[in-house]
Amino acid sequence: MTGFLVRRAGYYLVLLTVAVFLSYAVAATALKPRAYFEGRQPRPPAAAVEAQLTHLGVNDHDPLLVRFGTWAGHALTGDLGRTIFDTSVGEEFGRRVGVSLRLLLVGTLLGTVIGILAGVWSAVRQYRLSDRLVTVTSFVLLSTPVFLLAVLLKTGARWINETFGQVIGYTGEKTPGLTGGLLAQAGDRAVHLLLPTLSIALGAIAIYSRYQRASTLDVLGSDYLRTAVAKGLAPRTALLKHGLRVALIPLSTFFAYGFLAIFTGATLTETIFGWHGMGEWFVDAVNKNDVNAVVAVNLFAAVVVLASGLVADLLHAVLDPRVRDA
Amino acid sequence: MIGITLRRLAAAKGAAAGFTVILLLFALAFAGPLLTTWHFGDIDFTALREPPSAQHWWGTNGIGQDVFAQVTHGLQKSLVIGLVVAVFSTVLATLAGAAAGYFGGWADRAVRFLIDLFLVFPGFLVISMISPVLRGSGWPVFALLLGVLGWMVSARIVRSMTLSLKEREFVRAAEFMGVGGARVIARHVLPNVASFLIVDTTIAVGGAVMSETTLSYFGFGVQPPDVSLGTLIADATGGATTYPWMFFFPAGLLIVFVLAVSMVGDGLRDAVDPTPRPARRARRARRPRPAASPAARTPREPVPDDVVVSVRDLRVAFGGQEAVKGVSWDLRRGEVLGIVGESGSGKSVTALAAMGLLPPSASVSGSVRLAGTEIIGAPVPTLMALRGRRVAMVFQDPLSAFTPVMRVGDQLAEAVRVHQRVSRAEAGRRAVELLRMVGIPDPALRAGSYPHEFSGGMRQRAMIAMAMANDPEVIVADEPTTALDVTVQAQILDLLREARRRTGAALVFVSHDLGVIAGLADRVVVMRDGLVVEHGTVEDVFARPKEDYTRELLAAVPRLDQAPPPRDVSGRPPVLRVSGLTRTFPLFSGTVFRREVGSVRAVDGADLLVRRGETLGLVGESGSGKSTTLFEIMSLARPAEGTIEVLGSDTAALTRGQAARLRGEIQIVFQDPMASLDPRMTTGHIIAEPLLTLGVPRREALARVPALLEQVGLSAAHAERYPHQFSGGQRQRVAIARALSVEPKLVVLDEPVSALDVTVQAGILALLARLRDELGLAYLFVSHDLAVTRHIADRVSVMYLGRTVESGDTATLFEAPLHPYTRALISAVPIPDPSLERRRQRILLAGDPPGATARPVGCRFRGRCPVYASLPAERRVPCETADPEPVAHGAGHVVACHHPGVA
Repeated sequence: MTGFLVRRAGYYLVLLTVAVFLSYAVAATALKPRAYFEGRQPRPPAAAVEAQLTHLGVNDHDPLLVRFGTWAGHALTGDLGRTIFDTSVGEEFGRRVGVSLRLLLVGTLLGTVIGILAGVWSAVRQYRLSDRLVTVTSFVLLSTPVFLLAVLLKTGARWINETFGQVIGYTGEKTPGLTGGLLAQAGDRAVHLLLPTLSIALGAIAIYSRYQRASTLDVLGSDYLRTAVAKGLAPRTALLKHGLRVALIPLSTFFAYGFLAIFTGATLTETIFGWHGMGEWFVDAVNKNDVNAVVAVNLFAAVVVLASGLVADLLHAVLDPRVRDA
Repeated sequence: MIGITLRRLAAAKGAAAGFTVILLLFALAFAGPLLTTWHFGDIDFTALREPPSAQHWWGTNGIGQDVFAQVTHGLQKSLVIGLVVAVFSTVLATLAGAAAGYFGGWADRAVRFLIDLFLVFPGFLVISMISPVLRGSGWPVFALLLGVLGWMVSARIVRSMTLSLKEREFVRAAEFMGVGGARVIARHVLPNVASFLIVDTTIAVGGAVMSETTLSYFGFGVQPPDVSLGTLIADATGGATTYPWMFFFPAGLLIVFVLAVSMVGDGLRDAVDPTPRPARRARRARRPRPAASPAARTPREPVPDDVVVSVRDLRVAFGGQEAVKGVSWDLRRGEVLGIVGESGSGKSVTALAAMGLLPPSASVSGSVRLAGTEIIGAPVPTLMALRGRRVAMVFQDPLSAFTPVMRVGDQLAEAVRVHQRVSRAEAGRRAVELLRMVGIPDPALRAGSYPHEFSGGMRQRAMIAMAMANDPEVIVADEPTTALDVTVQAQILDLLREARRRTGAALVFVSHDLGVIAGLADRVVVMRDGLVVEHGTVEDVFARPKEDYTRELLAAVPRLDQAPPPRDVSGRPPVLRVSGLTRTFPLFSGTVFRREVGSVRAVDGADLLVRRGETLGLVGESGSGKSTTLFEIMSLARPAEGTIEVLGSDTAALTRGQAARLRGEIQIVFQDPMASLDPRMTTGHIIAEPLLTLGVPRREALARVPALLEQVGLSAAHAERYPHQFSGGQRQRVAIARALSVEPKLVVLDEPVSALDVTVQAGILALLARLRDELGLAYLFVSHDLAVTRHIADRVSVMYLGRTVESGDTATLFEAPLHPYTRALISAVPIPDPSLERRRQRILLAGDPPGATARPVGCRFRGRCPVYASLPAERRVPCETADPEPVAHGAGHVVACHHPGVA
């Protein structure tokens, strides 16, 4: 099993390297930091623009491979370069990464756990009213793009606040300048977490519940569940002890795709709710032609997506003894 | 096929509603801009942020643009982009997936690497990055880009579908007919992937519209002055509560459209899936209470004391279809009751009903009493107390009957702990004890294994151990040996006798195999179409059957101890000669950086000779290399080692044209006719395909179909039907007609009757014999069933682990076999005659057929050989050091053994 995971990790490292190079190439070609400097008022002298571009390592007169080589050399030592405002990308990265990870982790955790529970429940009650309700709800949620869901939630919250007074905070991570004890601070943060988390978790819940429902239905008709019942186990115990683990196996392979969707959702959600995370940074950086910042966010995306792939492989190997030997 | 799909689609209410909504939205998007006098760019300075009115139907926005005109135009843009993206990404996915799946090797690895690479980057990031370059290049470029970033998941599915199609027998059949690679993909692969692609494109439209609106919302997609639903929603977000018309019209249309698309996609998915739908579960599974069932209302006649199970007027129906129509029998303490019947006779359903194990969709009435407790309609706790404790079950397929992710020992220990108050450790010890009792070697170690690490025979032993865990009064065994090789079947039957002796349990033994029933049962119930046809002691039913059906059934079973008179086939020229044939498959490990870790020697020295008009039977256990040998012959290519001669030409020296002509002389019939006939072609086209491949004009080829159908006992009218409209036996007749269409000299038959019931099997065997005599055909007849082989073959060849170990004419081989393996095989076949079967001396082989990766020095059969086991040490030496060479023992009788004929 260790061998299996080590091989997967090695493969992911190759993927990561190629992916980072490609994203650097795309960002360095598509974004025009020169235009940003030349567009400033008053227009700086040409030599100064040239010097600044070279200083930042984004001068389009240098060959792409040279620029990438320099960047990669620094990146390997942990230095992600300078932003277009000549501040450290690494420092900005450090400030923002926690914000994004918090949203991603909470969203993924809630999405998977609630989605799986809803799926199993829905499968056990196939064609009953409760199953139909879960199905219809998940279809509606799956048909709503994350940005629209976020906007709808925000609009709803605004309406609630206008009607009942300030109940739900939804801008940023906390109310600025709030005084009060630790409890009040924590409560304030939790309230701020509510809408962004819902925006990304609801979609995840919907999709995981569909997959879990289908795989649970497969398991419900299986021979080994019948064997477990034939031993004298209660049908519910048989499903939980024998069926659930098998029904989770297809989900573990789906987990990596699901995470990708959640990641995209989180990027958008941050921007809409004014969280100063990686997603918001990315949108800003693209608009500012900030090559190094854009590449840093891409690096972050590739690492978390591949990490989720590794987690999926690990889950698969833990759940299914049959893949450990392969 | 299309008709069925459409009918199913129309029947799905959700899909029909979704389809209507989509049509309405398209009408709105394309007719809407024509209905209003406003152009979407027009500005009405007199009306800023006006609510809906007669002038502006859906109101106006902040700069006085008409919302209706804007939204209908935006909808149109979003729909067009969505369609373009979906079609484009599906085409990409199909090309990449089909190429990877069909060509394999490096193409496959490259595509899989690309898929993973594209998945590392959320498409949103990539498009946003490129958006500065895209500004001004218009929406088509944007749409193509979305397509490029959205093909990966579908490509993966198309790849795995192509891979599994490549293994399907109808694709293989086409390849063996000589149909070229591109034509195989076009005629047999793509039509079978098409239904998935239709569904996939549909769903992709929804996804593409969502991606487009998202990107446009953030300013990375459609650029002003053009509008799409995404830009409209973005502009209206700020004022959503104050000016709801600006926001909710585009947002609502977006959700409604995507929802409608996914409902149609879902309905399509069900409609193109040819598998029948599960019966709908009743709102509350209403089980008849025992008090309400007729058997319980009318006072039952007293049941004798020694009856442990008593079934009265049992009826089972699935969705209105009655599977069991009033069955009654008693099982007495300690006896074996055999329930025998063909498929669909209701024998398994009866057994499951006796344990209350039928799915909730079944409606059951009548009475099953187990030691005085009524089972039908009993509450779950009552059933739980009985199951595993007083009545235990052994299922047909021991691989699927064990939970794949739980250790075997734990599953056994659980069976103990459900009914006995013992500690976890004690239950574990008991599990090991049970495994030892059923003859699992090294039980303490094997208890920690997972089911997939057991061989088929060991799994069934463990299943029996689990049934014995609580010393039940009754064991119900449902076809427990059907999935096993004949030598392993003999071991398991012995074990069941032993288990019964130890526990004193009564046994209900369900089987289609009259030979097995004859050897085991005390009394027999013969079932047909859900009814008991005959019921009596095993001697009476087999020796003095009262009913016609029982007689028919007994007559249809080929018996190993009876054979037709031999035909004289000596002196004819050979049509097929194989010598020293070897085929190895490399074993790989790893996904992208694959490396060879070993090889499987599937065929390792096979010798065959088939003469004109002669039938050669090829027998052996699973994994003996029979099928691989056939495929090597049918590929008409140069073998890795050894030679294949077809009609005198060495396949290693064939030119492409010669090989194509030779294909007309050698044809194949597969085991499962459902799998070997393309489900999307009519019978006429299926039968004509080999002719078309040989270059016969289409009209001429189709004109020959009626005569071919009549030749195999079907009628000309059947040419218009699809394979699924036939019964199993009729489908096999179609497969035979296809093989005969080109008037071959040799027909290769790969287990042609194994999937059929005995009465149907008898019909097919008679047909094959008739065609052989009429057309002078030679057959290479592969079978695991020795009795069938004895009845059809002139000569027989026995394979073990890829090697031919004995061959000779049928009478010699069956009456005077010399190789210990042949003797054991023959001895393991049960004979449907109770008195003979019980008197017979058996040679039991130890263990299962080993895998083909191990290659021991010396004789490969040594490990299971009863002769080797009984030899003194000095006589064992040749077996341990030298691979036995084939040696002739009389005319045409060749044996590869160091001690032939030693008993």
